[in-house]
Amino acid sequence: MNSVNPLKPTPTKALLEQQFLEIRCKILDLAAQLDRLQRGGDLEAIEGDPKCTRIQKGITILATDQPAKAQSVQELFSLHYDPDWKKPSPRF
Amino acid sequence: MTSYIDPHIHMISRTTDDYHRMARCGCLAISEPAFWAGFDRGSADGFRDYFRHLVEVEPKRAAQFGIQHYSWLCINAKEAENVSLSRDVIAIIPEFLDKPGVLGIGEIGLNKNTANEAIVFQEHLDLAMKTDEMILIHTPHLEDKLKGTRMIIDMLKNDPRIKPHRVCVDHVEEHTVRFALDGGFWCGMTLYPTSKCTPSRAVDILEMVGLERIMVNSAGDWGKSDPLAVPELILEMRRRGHPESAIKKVVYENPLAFFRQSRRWSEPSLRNES
Repeated sequence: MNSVNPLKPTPTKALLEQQFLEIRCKILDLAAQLDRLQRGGDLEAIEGDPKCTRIQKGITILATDQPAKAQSVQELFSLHYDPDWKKPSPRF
Repeated sequence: MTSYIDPHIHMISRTTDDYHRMARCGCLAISEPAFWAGFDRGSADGFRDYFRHLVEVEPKRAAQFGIQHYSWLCINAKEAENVSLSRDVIAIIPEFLDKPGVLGIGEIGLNKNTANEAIVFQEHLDLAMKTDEMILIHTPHLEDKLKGTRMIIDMLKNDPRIKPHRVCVDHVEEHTVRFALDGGFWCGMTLYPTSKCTPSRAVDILEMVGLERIMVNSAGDWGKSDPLAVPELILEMRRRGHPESAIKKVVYENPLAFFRQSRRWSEPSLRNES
């Protein structure tokens, strides 16, 4: 697909040092948002809501060590594609 | 300062101050696809006036700051649900195709992936193929993106007249970029908060798929967006220690290579400096 990629990923240890605070901040933001949902008081109203299910599955993906978590989260939040959908025809 | 090209930005929705800031950050050229006006237009004449704005007004605004402005023409996916209006607009596009700076047909695509949107998308392809135009494609946002991108690529592959190297599939993200690249198309990553890609994730994607046939843009438009998003990506690439040659390829050489394919491309006096 592509010629040799000149971009080398940043080594993990250096990346952790650089990004620890940002990751911490994002985890904290997400924790606060989940707390906000609970403080709303009517969790029963959203039980079974597909958005809730996706959020829970998304958090589960984050806790794995699979290499393409961002792609998996994107796919989780995507509509289903039907390869047999009816395409319009080109008019030559 | 790294010179750059923003290949997808809606300057009609930006103040003149933004042109000034972009020029200060090294922007030499932009391309502006036709898109949604912030409301659904009621007639083809509304589009005729909009096309005049794109080909006459914006180039003059850009030129004040030494920025070369190019444009694309179409009825956007959001308004394409109205097939009758869409056909009226498609009928007037040829009046403007040979105006200075018009690169091709765009940004056509899908919005909610409806049958009407797909019909209008195909009719834009039919128009484009009459005069072998280049094509710039809008892929849907959020939950519609994966399905819509695959439907768009299905339609492109279903049309033997389409030359993939003359098509840019824009707004790609982690789950759609490989569909575009594997199909031989160019692709664009849009650096836009919340509903699209961030500079950091865009650099992640570059690290995963490489630098061939890929561009970045700000798509600065009606939503909360940053017309300096491409310079932000430049900073992120530098922060990660990526070579200047790689940065220049993504933000300058790649858009130039893609646009030079347009039969109406006129090479501006772009400074070739890093």
